[in-house]
Amino acid sequence: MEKGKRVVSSSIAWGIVLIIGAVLLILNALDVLPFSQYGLGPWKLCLGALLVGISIQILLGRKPALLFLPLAGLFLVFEEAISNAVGKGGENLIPTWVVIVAAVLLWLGTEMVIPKRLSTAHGIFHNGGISLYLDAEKDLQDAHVHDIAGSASVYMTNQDLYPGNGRLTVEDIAGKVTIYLPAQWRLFVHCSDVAGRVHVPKQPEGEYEKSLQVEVRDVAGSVDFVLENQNPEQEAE
Amino acid sequence: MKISLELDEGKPSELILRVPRVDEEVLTLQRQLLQLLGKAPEIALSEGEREIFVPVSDLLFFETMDGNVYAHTATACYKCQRRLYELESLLPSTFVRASKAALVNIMEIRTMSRSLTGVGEITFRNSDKRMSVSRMYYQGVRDRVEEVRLKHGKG
Repeated sequence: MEKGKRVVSSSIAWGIVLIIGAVLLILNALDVLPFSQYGLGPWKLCLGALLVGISIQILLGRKPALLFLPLAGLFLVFEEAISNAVGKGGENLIPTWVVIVAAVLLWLGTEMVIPKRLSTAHGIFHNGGISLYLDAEKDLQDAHVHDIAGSASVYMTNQDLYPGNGRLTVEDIAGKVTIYLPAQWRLFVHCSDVAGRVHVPKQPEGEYEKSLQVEVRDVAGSVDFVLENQNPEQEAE
Repeated sequence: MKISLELDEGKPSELILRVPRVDEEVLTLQRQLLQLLGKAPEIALSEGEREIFVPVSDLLFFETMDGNVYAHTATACYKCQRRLYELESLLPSTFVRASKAALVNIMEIRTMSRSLTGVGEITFRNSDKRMSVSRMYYQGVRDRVEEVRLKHGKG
């Protein structure tokens, strides 16, 4: 996989989903496509679009087992409409707890059946704790790290050969990513976080020989930067 | 252990450990003596096109990923040209398997914990790094840590 390709495709997917969601809302409001008569109000349409977007992200992340959860959400959101469509008059087709429990069981069972694997060298991490090694000399010109519901540690090799002025993009959805970097690199972090947590340690003011631009996009996950101090005397100061 | 000093002006200094068998205590003592004498065992690791020699005692763990073996110190990581099974035979017995893809230096372990699923996590002294221990190897690592540390203390 080419660097950056995965980011572009996921951004386009989200963009399309959001645009389609907006168009459906407008069409519904204008009575062109009156979803309301099928029990689909604006909030359900928005939620449905969000869940479709998450499903696409999961498919792009090649983590099929996780798909059962947003699919269960979609069923619950559109259950009334489905019930109307099959002539059940909007009745509850399946108890909610059954849908949720079944989705969770299917997710866990499929996870156990499907062997875990890493999709690409700079790509998607699956759960169970994965390490990613980036070559600071070659990879940090424009590196991308993606995590969907996984747990990943990112390390830098050849730190002394890092030319400087690199760029790292971290995208995380409902996962946990820990990135280990030398304390001697000045980090410039731009962060976009929704319902998650991003921790960047404070760096002392001063001159740094090398810098790294970092962009973090996190949704309901956790991204931690750990600065490895190679000079204990400096830390004591 | 009996320690004696023989004065012999005609010969160069030589340190001999006379032991009935090579066990963990002997290996620990040997390592400490080598460190004192500035001759700590080192291993060749890669950094770009060059090789650097890192004291084995500085290593926290080795890990295999994408067909490469990586060695971790407290603040850096390097590529290692040797396979894990080769390292297992070359390194002191203080390096034990933590999973199919990792060796850990039990002398540098600070804490061990286990999740509900049985997967373990190790933290290290003087480092923020962590590593996973698989269910299959957790008890073995823990037993080994207790055996070595309880009996001999940290090196």
